[in-house]
Amino acid sequence: MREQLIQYVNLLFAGVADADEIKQEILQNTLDRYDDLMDQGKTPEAAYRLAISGIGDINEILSSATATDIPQATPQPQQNNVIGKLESIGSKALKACAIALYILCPIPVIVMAMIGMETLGLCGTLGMVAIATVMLVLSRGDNGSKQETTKNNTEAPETELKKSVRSLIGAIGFAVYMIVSFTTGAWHITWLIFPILGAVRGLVFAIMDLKENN
Amino acid sequence: MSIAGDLIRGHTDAIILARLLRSDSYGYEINKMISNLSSGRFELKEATLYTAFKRLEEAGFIASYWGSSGAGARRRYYAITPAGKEACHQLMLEWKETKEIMDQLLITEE
Repeated sequence: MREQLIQYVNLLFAGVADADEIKQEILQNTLDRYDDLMDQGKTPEAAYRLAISGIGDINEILSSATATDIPQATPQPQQNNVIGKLESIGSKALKACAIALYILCPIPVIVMAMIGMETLGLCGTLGMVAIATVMLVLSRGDNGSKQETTKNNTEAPETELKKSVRSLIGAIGFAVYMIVSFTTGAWHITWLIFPILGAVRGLVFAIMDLKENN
Repeated sequence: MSIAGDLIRGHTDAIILARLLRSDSYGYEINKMISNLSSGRFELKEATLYTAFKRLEEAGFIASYWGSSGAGARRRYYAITPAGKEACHQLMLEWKETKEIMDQLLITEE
């Protein structure tokens, strides 16, 4: 019966990759139980049956062996840290590209204006702003979903700061718009200050985010 | 028993850590101790035990090494780490509190 027990455990782990150590440990424990039951005077059949029922649901092990994250408030396995780092590098790269786009976004308007195609240039600029904003949102989404649960406390003061920066930029922008519009009288074009304002705000927030992460 | 078993299973980590706090041990020996201490009323399945070992090891609460017994069988022994000792005491405190609260909540006499 002991031989059959070994065969049973071998079959249990047949076809499971990288299960050698698991199998050896489970097998040894099961054999220990079998021997113990035999010492207690159980029949080989009864000991075999009890030893097998003592193994329990093997899927429990197999699913935990493949799962990388353990739902516990304990130090994370290293693999997770690596993934986390890669993700944070990715989100930093996204932010950096977004900042570059914000800085470069006036170029289409200026260049296209030189050859008399202002509308096309404006479309280019707005397009660049749109892409940069999407990148910012994506880069925040990466961090957000993972860290929101743990970082709620540190998040609060940051949003406060951002709120005041946002209103400051808004106020200054509006003042600039009024001053420029009244002094130049070029109302048909001065509204462009607002999209530019949006770009500036995105730029400032992205820089703040980068500093925060460092 | 099955209901009590489910309740106890929620404390598998604490039970294992408490066993290892006394001495290094291996799977069946730990399960045997659990069985004896509960007068045969509670026992863990191998799968549950193994999953708990893995979880505790990854958390850095226990460490394992291969050792051989007299009969020549290779066994995986587990030892508690300093972090595990701390976690064990924490879990014991939590259990003490849970027990106190439950005792109070289940009082039926005025």
